[in-house]
Amino acid sequence: MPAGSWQLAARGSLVLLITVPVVASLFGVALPAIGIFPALGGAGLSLDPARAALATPGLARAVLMTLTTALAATALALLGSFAILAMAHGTRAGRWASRFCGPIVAVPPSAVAIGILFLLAPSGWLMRLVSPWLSGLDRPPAFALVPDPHGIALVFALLAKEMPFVLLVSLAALSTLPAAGLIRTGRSLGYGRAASWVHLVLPLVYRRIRLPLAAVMIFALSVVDMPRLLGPSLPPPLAVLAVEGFEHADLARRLPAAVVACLQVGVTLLALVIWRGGEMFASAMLAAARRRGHRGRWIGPVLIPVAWLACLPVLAAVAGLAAAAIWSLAAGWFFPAALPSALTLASWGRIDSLAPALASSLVIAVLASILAVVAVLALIPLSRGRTRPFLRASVYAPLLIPQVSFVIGLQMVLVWLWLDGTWLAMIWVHTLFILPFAWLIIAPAEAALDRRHLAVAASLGASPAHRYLRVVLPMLSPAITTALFVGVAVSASLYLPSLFASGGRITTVTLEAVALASGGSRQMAGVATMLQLAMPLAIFVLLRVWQARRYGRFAGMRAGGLQ
Amino acid sequence: MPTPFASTVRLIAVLGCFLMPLQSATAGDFNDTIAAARGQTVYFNAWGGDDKINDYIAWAGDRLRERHGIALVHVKLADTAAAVGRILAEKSAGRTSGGSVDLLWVNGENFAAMKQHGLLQDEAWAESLPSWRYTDAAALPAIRLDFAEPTEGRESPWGRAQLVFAYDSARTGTPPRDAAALADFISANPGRFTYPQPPDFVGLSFLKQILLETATDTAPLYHPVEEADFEAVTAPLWAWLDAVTPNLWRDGRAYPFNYPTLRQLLGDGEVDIAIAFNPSDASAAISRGELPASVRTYIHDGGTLANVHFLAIPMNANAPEGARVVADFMLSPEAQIRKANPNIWGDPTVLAMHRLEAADRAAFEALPRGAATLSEAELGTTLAEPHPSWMAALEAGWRQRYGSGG
Repeated sequence: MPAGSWQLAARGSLVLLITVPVVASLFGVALPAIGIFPALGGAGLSLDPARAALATPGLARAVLMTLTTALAATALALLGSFAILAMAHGTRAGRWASRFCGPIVAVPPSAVAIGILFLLAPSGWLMRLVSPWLSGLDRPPAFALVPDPHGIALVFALLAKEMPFVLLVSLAALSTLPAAGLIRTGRSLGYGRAASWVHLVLPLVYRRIRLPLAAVMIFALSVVDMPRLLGPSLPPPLAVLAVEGFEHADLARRLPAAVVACLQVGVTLLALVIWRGGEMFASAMLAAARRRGHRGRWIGPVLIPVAWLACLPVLAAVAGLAAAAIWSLAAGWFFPAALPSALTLASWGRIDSLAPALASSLVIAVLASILAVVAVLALIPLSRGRTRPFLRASVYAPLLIPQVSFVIGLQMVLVWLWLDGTWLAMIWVHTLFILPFAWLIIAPAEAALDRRHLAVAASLGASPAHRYLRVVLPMLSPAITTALFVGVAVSASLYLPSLFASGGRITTVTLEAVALASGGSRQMAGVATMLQLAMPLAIFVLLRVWQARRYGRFAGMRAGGLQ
Repeated sequence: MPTPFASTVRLIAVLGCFLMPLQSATAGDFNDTIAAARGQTVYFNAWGGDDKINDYIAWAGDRLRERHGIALVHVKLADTAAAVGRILAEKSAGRTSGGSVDLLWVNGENFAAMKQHGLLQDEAWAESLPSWRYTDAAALPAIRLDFAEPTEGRESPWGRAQLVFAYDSARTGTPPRDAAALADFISANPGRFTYPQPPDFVGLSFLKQILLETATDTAPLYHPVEEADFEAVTAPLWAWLDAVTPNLWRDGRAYPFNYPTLRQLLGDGEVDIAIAFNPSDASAAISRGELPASVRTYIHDGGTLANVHFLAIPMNANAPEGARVVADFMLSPEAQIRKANPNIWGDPTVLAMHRLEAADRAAFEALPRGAATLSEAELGTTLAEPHPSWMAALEAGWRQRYGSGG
């Protein structure tokens, strides 16, 4: 596209809209941490907040647990999805699994957590199904099953949420690789199918998904709604500790909480360093195995059970969501009954109280997703050729800065601008959080475009605008559709950013669901969870149908080359 | 020669000169307030975790729209402190008007924090509301004393609360009716008792209840904690907790998030006793199918904590007039009768029966009581809330001892 001066100006302000909140939010969280918060009388530099934060009981255990749960969840999600990829790619089960991934990725984390809780808690559905005929229990066991003090339930739920995501981005990366050829090469050298995957294909896939993986880990490090339902509470993970400080009635607790939010950034960096160490170790092991010429015949037999085990968390989440659906219809459901004593639509009858939340969720999700996609399409040419590390860093910031730290600072900025609690702020913040996903999905697709199509179109006399609209966009349509869908899903899942940016005035289904879940009514929590599911799924179906109708005939051009 | 009668008449006349214009001026002022409130949107920030309460607020919104042209928007909070924090953030950003909160459901610690940080309207507006005349501060001092903190007319009473315990009569024979009996019950039934994790309001209230029952001298609890020997006063509480904690639900390594979660644990049969700050909470939960019909409530023999909850207007409220009209309506007999109905909400009234019209009094007396709700006589014995400064100190002490999960 020709770069007129108005375009430069538009792009410049676009860059500002992305970078300013990121930089300002960092100040917004850092200043209170060093004691500068005039409204609380903190005007000068002080180490008191830091001292108070470090005196938090169990802080060391909170840090350790935050690190172990996030690293375990990320490593297991990677292992599980790679095992599924290597074992099932190209098979019917694999196609079924990949089709299943999209909708599962769209399920908001809080809904997954509610589902796992409804299934696995001591009084959960699983225990009800086996009681008392098998377990001999007429009341729930007293031991800590879910939540547990070590965060195992949290890791399990994170896996249910993250494995399909990792699988999805791996599949996207795989589609740009000549996997079949690589496998043939491997097999011709005497490696098994599984070993060929491990030595030849997966390292290439891995290289392409490092950024999404980092985002997965940072999400696991800083998520708040899932550990609140499933994680240990004494002490909770760092992110929950920070939010608790900010929600505390004693306003002075905000200063140490800001320190914890900053500490969260440090822990995130530490986790990335540890992950890098693990990467180097794994690649050294692989290299050593290749040098010694091991053909790795054991890899296949090991990966098969791993692939099956990897399906467990997702299946548990689905069963848990089924339990949530049953709860939404339950009149009364007391342990150890396997099913409610009676069904009623009473809880669904109160759905009108959730209607405003549903409407605003839809409006925000759709507008923010479209804005993010448009912004990415406008920014891609800007980032090409010249290196723009700052712009890229800003686009990724909401993913790479722990949510708690980013959002707390962002709220200060919004209040300064008198924007908190406005639709503009909500859509802006949601757009910021969707941007990195849209970028991750669209940028590689754009880079992989087969430019010969453009040359052909130009030789047929198409203008640049015409080429962009009629050739580039249709070829990017799968990526754009995916980005829109992921955008809606991301928007639907945002809890903390919505809470802080909405000023409480704009409510979303996720905010309502978490508020209801804290109200202890499983029936209404079940209804809200169903709505949380319905929204992204409806958009998913709509987009797929639209894409098939509109751009189905370009399908052959996706992989590159006219056939 | 002035007779005593004549001097009394004169006295009344003189007083009347002071009082009458004052009263009519007040009424006139409130008519001005009502006029100014027309067309305003009032953002009412109130805990949104209970459907019954949400439905009640929606009902009030409908009435206010019909009568005064006020749009009442219920901003559903998960935690009141979040709204207090937002007002603080606005103040720190220099926003002294046009704030995002017009009316806030608040009491105790949050009110004390707002007062301390200058986040409330300066005026003593609450006692000039027309509905204030139905209250009796002499009979219910807690409407002027929020956790021993004088309200100074800067928050308007809304409802009453009292700590009650719930148990499943089909499973538990006789519930323990004091702190000592509760300790015995816990050691006899390991894993079947817990309380919401501080700083949860009900969790801290439970600690205060035990402290009030076990302390040798409760007088220091009604003064700021800084003036007391905290360790000495609270030693009996920590001794009690040290003894029971290993036998709590999850060995005291985890606690329920809040009281509805605890109520759910009772419904599930995971624990034997639930705690709530509303006498009709258990009855309401039974009717919603969240607790078995065999659940009953009780209080401790020495009485349980009781307090009043309020509506406050922040210093930077965007619609302060509308907020006052809402607070006045919420205090009116009409709204209070509906609120006290356990089928609607079941929140006890702050109004004094002897100040009401006969019809309103009869309406209160005709209200149904749920099967699990104690009568006013059974609830009778109450304990006053300690000074709010004890909340933070107790929480810090609790966190220090049990906050790292043992």
